[in-house]
Amino acid sequence: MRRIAASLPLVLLGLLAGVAALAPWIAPLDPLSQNVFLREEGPSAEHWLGTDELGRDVFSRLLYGARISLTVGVLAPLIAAAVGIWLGMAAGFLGGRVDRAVVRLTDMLMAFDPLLLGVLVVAVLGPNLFNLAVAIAAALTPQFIRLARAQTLAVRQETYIDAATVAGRTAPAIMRLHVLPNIAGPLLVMGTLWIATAIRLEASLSFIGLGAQAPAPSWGNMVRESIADIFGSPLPAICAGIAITLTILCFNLVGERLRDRLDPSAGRRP
Amino acid sequence: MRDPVVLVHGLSVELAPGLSPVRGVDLSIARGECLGLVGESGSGKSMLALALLRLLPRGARLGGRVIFHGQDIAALPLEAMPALRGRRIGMIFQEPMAALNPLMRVGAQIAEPLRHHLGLSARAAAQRAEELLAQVGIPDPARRAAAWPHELSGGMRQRVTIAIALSCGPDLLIADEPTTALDATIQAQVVALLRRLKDELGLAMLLITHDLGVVAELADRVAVMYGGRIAEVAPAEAFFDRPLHPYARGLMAATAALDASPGARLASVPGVVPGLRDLPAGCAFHPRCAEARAECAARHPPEVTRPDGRRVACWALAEAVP
Amino acid sequence: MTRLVARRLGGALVTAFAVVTLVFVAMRLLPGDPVLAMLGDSASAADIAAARSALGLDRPLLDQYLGFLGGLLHGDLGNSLINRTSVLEQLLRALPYTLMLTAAAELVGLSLGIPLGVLAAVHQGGAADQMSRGFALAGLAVPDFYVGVILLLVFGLSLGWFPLIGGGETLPAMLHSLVLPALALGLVKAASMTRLTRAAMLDVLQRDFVRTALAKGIPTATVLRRHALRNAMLPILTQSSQSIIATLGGSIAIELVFSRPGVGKLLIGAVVTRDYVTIQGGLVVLAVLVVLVNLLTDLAYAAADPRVRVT
Repeated sequence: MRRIAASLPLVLLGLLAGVAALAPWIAPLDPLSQNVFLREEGPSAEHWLGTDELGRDVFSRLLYGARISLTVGVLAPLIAAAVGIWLGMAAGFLGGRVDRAVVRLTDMLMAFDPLLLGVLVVAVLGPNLFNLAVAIAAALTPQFIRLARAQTLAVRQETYIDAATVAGRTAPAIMRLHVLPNIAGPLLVMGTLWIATAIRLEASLSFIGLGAQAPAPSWGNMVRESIADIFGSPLPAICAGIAITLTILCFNLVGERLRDRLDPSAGRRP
Repeated sequence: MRDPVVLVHGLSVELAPGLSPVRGVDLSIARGECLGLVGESGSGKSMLALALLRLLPRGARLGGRVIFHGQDIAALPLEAMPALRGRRIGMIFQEPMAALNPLMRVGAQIAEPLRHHLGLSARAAAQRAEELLAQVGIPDPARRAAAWPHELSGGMRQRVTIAIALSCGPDLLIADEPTTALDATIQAQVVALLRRLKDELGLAMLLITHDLGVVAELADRVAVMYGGRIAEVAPAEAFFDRPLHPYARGLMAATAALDASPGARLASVPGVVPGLRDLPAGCAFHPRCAEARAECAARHPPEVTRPDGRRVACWALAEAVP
Repeated sequence: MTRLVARRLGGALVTAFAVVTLVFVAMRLLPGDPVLAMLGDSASAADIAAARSALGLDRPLLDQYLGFLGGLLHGDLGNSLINRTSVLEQLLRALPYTLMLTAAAELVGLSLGIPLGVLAAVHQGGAADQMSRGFALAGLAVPDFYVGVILLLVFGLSLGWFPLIGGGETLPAMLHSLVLPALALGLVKAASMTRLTRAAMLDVLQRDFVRTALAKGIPTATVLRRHALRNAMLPILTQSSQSIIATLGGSIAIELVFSRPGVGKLLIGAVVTRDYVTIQGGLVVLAVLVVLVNLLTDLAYAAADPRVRVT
């Protein structure tokens, strides 16, 4: 029984990924098609979760919303990782001025709340999905840098690094072949947890209006549009909110289990 | 012996099913007497100390009796223990560097039990704390009382913990490896301090250590512990002159003698101390014992009190007693 | 101790300066022409040039920077591109709402999270621990704006106990409209606080000095409070500046949910209307706030831990 419960988050995530990928085929209706005559209806045979304030099918919008959340949620950490891991490794491995500069940059970036940073970046770049991912990546990059740097500093003491240096390997090669594989574990764990953060940021930014632009069916958008008319039906908002919460929860749970598996010392005190 | 301050009878501690670091211990300590409890790590001696104060980890089970001031404190409800701790029984631990709250001034930490147990006012407690600091040999006690723990050296911090333990005038002091974490010179100072306090205050002291040298300096009687049980109990001088139990003899031999030649190899007891889960049946020491015989693997030897007052638990020796 | 304060203050000033400069640079990196955005596509070249000159955007960068700094020192953050009112004035009117919300949310988070965390640590593995773990998981998964929405719908709309919009003008009204937003933000904060406190307490409870305190016969409750919790607060304090900044950030979305006239709402409005002057002003104020928070928590930590004061 417990094992079923333990694998539940992963199963749900798999389901989510499937839904996101197959949304165009499994969604019963077009998420964008409006119907003025059917505004804010409750659940019915045709509209399983009712319609929103523009008559669009809530259920279909939810399914398509999964695409946005998952895409941004995975893309943003990937971008942040691509930039952050290398910067962090370089800082930890090379030390000296490089390290100091990177640390200072990271501190400055981390001074801003991720949401605020996201707002900033979108303000500069303009609101579209890709910029959204970049904005969230900007917030996550300092975290990746910090983690990669700390892990690199720990690994640097190992003798196989010295061995490689003596053997004549260049710094970039050592970082790629020796440091990276050994710091991958914690990075993967945190990466999963940061996907959850990214999804949360996407939802928040979309809710603010700086994320996926209307009429895109982002879950954050759905919440916002639904409560824009507070006296109307809150069903879309509630459903979208549950979707966001469940998704983040699943990623958090999966991340924690990964941590227990790959990095038992870190998980000593859950 | 004269009316003992504490009398331990059949004490056992079970941490979890099948995991018993203390398996039936009998001890007694008289007023003004220091009993040195000797054993290596894993012998159960620290657990014994914690058991006396009922500071065992959650889920641990205590068996046997501990008669203190006419009461069996092993049977007392746990809520009754704080009244005894620090008041009638004081305890000092091994790591002086970590034993004090880093966010409280030294004087305040000594005053804390004074205010709680004896109801002293803040000023009276502070004054007494200073007196105690002087008593344990800390120079400039007024200034030290206002100091933070990190401003004191290890030796001084240990003196402070002694002052704390003795603040309310307990009848029994339990010292768990009090000198192990200290430098040799500081060790000697602390040992001298403990001896002085024991004589001045008439304390009953349970000194737990693996260091035979410290035992030789402080203890009036020696008890050797192995595998959760007592192997031997004897007056200190008699013990050091001629230990009886094979394990005790091994310990003594392993300690370098002052008159040994410089190049001589240290004798060691073969084998290793068994882990809690691997305790052998019968006498716990028998796999490592040169004098083991058939019964040793079958049953644990009972403690036999010899005519000279010493107690030993060993089949090989039991035969020798007329 | 005063030397420490002076040194930290100096450092904070330097950081504030650096961050403000960063804001300036970031704003100038904006692609797209603010003037164009203001005037629209149909504006003539002459109009554009005139507007740009009026805003000082045609001067060399260094001049602009010095002008910007000079303005800062005089408390002049420029005028909004949209409604021409002083940015500083608008910010000063909005700031109290944001500060109140942040403070109230932190209060809720701490007063709920710390006791729960202590309970969870003391009864490790027990029912209280499991429940607090569930609470922490839920709190970390639910977006704060969603909690706000739910609270608004239930307590504001359905039950009508709290106002649906606004921040209130009079003090009682302000406090009344503070409840739901502070709860929304605070509950989520409490979840992470619980986790943090639990971890910190578990760590401290293992330490030797707790055993010493128990061996002194001090009652358990007192040991928990005076010895364990006090030391557990140190790592919590270290995290608190990050925590307050996160609350500050989270207030942006909450202000939108509850239509509170705070800095967040002002900023978002400015972003949507491409009102760069207001955006810049808002960022400057927020950045300075962050530096201030960092400074205060630094000093609070030094006040709490005597070992730090040596340096």
